[in-house]
Amino acid sequence: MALATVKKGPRGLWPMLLLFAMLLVSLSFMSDATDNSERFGRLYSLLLLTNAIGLLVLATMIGSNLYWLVIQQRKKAAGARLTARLVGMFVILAVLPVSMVYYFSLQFLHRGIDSWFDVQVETALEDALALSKASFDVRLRDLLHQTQLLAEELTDVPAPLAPLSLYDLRVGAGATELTLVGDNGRVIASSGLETSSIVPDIPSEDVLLQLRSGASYVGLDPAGEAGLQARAVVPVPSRNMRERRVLQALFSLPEHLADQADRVQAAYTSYKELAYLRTPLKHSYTLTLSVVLALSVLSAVWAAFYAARKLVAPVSDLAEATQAVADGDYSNMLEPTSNDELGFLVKSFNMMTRRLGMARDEAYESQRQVEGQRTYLETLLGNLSSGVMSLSADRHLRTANSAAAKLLAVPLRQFIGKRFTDVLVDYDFLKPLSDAIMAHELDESRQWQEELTLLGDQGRQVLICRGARLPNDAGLVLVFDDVTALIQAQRDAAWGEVARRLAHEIKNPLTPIQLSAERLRHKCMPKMAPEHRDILDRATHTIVQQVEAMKAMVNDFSDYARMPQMQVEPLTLNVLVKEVMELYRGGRGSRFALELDAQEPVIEADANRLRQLLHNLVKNAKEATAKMEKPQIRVATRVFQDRGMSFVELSVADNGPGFDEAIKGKEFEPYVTSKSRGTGLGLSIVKKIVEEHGGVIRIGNQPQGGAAVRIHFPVHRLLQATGMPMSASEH
Amino acid sequence: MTTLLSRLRMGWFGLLLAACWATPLLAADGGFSVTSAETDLKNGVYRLNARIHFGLSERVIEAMNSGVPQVIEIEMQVLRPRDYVWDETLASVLQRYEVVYHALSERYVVNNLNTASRNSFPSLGEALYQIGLVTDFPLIDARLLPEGEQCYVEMRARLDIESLPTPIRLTAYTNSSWWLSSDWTRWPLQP
Repeated sequence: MALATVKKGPRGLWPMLLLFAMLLVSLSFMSDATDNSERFGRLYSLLLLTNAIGLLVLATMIGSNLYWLVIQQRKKAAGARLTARLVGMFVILAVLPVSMVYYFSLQFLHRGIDSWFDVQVETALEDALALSKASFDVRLRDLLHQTQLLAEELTDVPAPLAPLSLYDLRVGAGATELTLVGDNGRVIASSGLETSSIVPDIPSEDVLLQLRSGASYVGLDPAGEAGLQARAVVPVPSRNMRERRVLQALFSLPEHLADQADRVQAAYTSYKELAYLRTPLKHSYTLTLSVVLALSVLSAVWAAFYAARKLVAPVSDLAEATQAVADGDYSNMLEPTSNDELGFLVKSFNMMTRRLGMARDEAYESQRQVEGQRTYLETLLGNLSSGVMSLSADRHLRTANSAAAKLLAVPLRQFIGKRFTDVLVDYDFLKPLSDAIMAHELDESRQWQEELTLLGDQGRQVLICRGARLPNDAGLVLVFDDVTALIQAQRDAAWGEVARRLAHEIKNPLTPIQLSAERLRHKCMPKMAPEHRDILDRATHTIVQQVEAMKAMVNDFSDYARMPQMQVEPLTLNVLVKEVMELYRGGRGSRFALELDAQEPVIEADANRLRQLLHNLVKNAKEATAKMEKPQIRVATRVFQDRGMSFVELSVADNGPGFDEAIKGKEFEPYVTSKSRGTGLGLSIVKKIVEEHGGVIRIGNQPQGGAAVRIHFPVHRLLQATGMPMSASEH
Repeated sequence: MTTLLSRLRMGWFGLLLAACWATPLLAADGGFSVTSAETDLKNGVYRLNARIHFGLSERVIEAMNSGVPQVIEIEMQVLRPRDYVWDETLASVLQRYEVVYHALSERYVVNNLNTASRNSFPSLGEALYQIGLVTDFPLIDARLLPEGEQCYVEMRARLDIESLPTPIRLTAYTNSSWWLSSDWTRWPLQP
């Protein structure tokens, strides 16, 4: 198929929905995590990665869809353009509002985060911190002073007594822990609250280092057991001891102060942290929002592809099926997809295809029947002995059966579809047929019948031609039969019958007449006077003579009626003419001129009949020129070509008076004669012989006077090559 | 007055500390590194002594001073080498320390997340020094070691990005100044 089509809509709606749902859940967790919440804070990176992978999967699927669409577009597949248009539309519809929401959300977000921060709040917090510090400084100074007083009381206290003194001092001063530290950070004695740990909290290296230079240390320690505590470290004055001792006192701060300080510290720290996180927080929210946007947009694009392909799939199927129907395949039935207009369209299409298929089958069946009838008719016509031709209204040859071609000796099949007049170009002997068709065309007869005489390759042919117009002026049909032989036989039979009867009827009285005359002469003549005897002698002689003549005439009739069977064989016409003319050589009267064609034509003929023919003609000519001063008879043979066929013309011409105008047109009928003596059978016999040989005879008067008889025979072959001069001789 | 005094003291103290920790502080951006590590056997337990140097980047210090807690992890493992497959972990310890700046007292508080003990230090350098000082850390009971096989110890220290607040976590992952980790230092486990 030239046209590829868009395949079925994409599968995997459920996996995609699941992916969307998972991404949505993950996104909501992520947005929660961005708030630094405890629940999802630890999972933030994982969620971000999950979302990124999910989006990547989505993007890949969209990419594959896009690639598929591009391929379909290149292939010019049915539905590809529609899909592209729908996808474009859906994407624009989805992306535009989402993008706008995204833009304004970002604006609000940034402004919202910025609005958290305020210079006044920051200043207030710093002031609160500074105030707390100042407040603690005063207290710390007091504690330092108190510790210094305690240290003075520990001056030169021996190590074994130190714990007791420390205890007393601690209880007295209200400290949480007092520790006396010797050189190298060694704890000499320590006294603490019972709740505190057993291990004393020794001052750190840096504090001890500071003390060695003689200074004191006081400071807040946020890492105390009960939270914020004050630490004071002072050198213990000594008079006798070499060892340098330091006293560390830890004081817990009043509870309300400690709480307030903690709150200030917490607020300050969280504000500072928030301020520090301001930009990253914006970025983080922007990222979350962007991921949401990407998810929305990508989901929309994927949904656009899904919906477009789902929508276009039935249309593509229809396009594909239509293409198949156009290619002649009616077997395609589409699955009805839905109950909407598309489903209706599909149902209608299926119905249409089914009907088309049925119509096609019916048409095929009827065509097959027509074909069968045509074959039947053709067989019928082919086996018919009559020639059948049909012509269209504009005279083009439509059909011709084999009998027609055979009867006319024309390859009619070559001319089927051509004008009938084209046949005449090569076969002009069919002109009488054409003329008859034209004639009946003009007189608008529905049916006609005519006897036509054609002179074709097969010689003279008589056809009985019947024409009939086809209904609705669709042309005409011609049926013709060759009746040449039939007519000949009928005529022969008729004339034979006439001749035989006539001969019979005439012969019967002739013998009694002849016998009576001879008896009269024999009986009466001796008894008669010489003068009467002479009359009787002449009279009976005339009677006998005339009866003889009549007998001869009757025999002629018998001969006509009872011609022996033809014995056809090839014979050289020139030889036969010479042979016959030899008999007339040296005779009195006429001069004979012979003009014989040098090509020596051979014709297929019965030699005896041809001799008879020639004798008759020469005899006629001799009789015609008997009264002329210079009787002259010319006998000639001439070969000529007509329609690619060779013919020989045998002509006998004289310089006699020619044919009488009175008998013109009836020369060949028996008993028609211009001669004083003669039965009138001569030319009839000649014509009969010519027709028996398939020839044509024409008679007429020459322009210079005298009759001429021309006979055309088809040539069997030529003994000599063409172009030889004619041989002429005179007798 | 006292504030001024303490500030002066701090300045002096800072100089002092700078003298002590000149190398690590100057190499602040040099990242984390295990400068020395060794194990010894005491009472049937292998103990680890090590010094780790933490060179924090400007960004990390800035974040910490802004009140963002930083978590430093020290990973220690005892492994048994194996052919063809990964080595078998016989013991694995993860020490986590959280360093927070306490604005009121201007001290750095180190919370040992494993033991919940807290300590405060006047400077970040000292806090880090204390964290980096691994002393007699019990690693593995000698009885747990396979006989006749040479096991080895590996350790490293790194800044835990996952413990950072979520907004800067992505930045931290994508910025090299937050990628603070020493290489694995390996040495054979010997008495």
